[in-house]
Amino acid sequence: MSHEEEQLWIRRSQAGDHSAFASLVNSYWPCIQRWLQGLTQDPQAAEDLTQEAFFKAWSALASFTPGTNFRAWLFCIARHCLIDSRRCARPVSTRPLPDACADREPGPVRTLIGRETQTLVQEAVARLPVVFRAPFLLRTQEELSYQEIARVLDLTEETVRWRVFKARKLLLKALGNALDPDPS
Amino acid sequence: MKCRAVRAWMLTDETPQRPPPRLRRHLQRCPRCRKRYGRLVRLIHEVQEVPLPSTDCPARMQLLERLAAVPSSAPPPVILRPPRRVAFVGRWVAAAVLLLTIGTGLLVLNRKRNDPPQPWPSPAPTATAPAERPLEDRVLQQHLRLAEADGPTEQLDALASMAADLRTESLRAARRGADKDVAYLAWLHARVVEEGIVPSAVGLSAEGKDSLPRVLAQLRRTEAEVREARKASPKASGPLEVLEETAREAIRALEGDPAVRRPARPSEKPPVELASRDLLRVLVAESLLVVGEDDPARRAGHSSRVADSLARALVAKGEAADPKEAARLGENLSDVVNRGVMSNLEQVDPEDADEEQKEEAAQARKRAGEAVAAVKRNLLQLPEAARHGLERALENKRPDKPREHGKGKGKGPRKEKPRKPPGRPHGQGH
Repeated sequence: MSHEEEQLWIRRSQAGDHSAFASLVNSYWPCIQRWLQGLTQDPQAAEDLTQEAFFKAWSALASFTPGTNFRAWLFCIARHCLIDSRRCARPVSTRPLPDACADREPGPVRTLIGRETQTLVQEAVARLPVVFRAPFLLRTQEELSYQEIARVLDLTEETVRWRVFKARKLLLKALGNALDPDPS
Repeated sequence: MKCRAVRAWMLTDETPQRPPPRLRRHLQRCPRCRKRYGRLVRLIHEVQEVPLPSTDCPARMQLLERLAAVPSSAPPPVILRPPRRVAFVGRWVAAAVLLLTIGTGLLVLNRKRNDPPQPWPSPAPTATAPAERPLEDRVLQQHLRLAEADGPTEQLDALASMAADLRTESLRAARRGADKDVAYLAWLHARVVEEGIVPSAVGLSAEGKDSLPRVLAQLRRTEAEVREARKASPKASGPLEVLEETAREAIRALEGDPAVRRPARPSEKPPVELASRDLLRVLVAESLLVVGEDDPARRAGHSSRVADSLARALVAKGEAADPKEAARLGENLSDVVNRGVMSNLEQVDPEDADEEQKEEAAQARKRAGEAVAAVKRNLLQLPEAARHGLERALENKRPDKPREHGKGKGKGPRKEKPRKPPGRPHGQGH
């Protein structure tokens, strides 16, 4: 989706066009759900929260300023949905790994080794405290700038930088030589 | 470039996958850094490779159905859209603003034609410090930068930002006619410039001198803005004179005027006592002591005194605490404990440390732990909303607890130790 397309869909959505908003949902649903899944470690909860986030986004579309970062705005709403859900103290089932990893097709030995590494990485990321995990995933997976992350998480840019630093450091320590190139 | 600086860059940079040439050269030379860098790149790649969830899920379909239930001709169920009446009033407000803008423009044009004194310039917010955050927050951020700085250049930048924040606030206070505040802030500004900036800048290596033009530009801006402010408001001229004089002397010293090698240090005592600025005073004093301090245990000690003052400020609020302010102070406290205290304590090697260092480290840990504990003990005194925000801000902040993987209080990036600038700042002044 180009920037112009996005702006067009936003304007049409703000005018009440469902199909334009559906296009935005289709574009941003996966990344919002992936981030929430990374934070909750619960695919079902992440799906529900994503739905809630988009519904709230639809309701609050008039407050969005065209020209600003729509994706960061969505992440901000998603974060608030997550906070609200935790405030309600809804029990969250803990799953060690997202399903996505197991869905990959089996391949040669090299692929298996690679998959093993990814499993280890995902487990290590899941063990990070959420205060470090949230900015780390926004930076690494979603490629938001530190400034955008600061807005999403309502932190200072310095704090975001420090938390990403901390996450990387902990992960490198935890994974150690598992990240070294495969011997083959 | 040193290995320590490279490692800190890798962990903090926004795009470590794209190293600058200087870093690439180091990586080619140094097998240890190359190995570590390879691991980081692999880590980032593996995290990015986590597949996106499918859009073909029931929740998305449900959402689209929920949205479809609203008639498409109707506007979205906007809860934040202003009602008609507000929009009507808004048109009048817009018209008034337009008229005011035109009027101000004409006035300015007319004044320019008659060549009168320039209007008082509005102090622009500094790049590192958004204007809406309280001064104490902004100075705290610079304290943390100093505690984590890569070297003297970054420390100098942090000091320059701190001085700019104090200048901006002084000018605001002068506009309010708060003379005592102006005098107090000008004194703090003088301490930052004369005990921090000048000695640090004079002691910079040839490479580090690149940052001097930025610092000089800040000082010149201070001098110019204060001069204009004094013209516009003769009543505030006295306290502001200190600010202008400080900037002028520092410029001369940094430009190498042989007559002024080092400006005189300001008094350790403030010109007036202002209890409302106690926290700020501690922040500035401890920040000046962090500058050029090589011993991480001592740096942690200075930050732990800041933590102690923050906790006292928070506890003193008691029932009067505003929820947002309590959450803000709580976040500041957790930041300073994590980044100022614990990050430095992590650098103290128990096997290498002498008795004095161990004692200093133990004291810093104890002080920070007590600060957090004091706030937690007093949580019940706070209004419920304030308590909630504060508890969230303090989560995961227990410096007195042993660390576990993933729960440690991290150390900030400290790539290379700053060299001690010639001349140490004197006492803490509190």
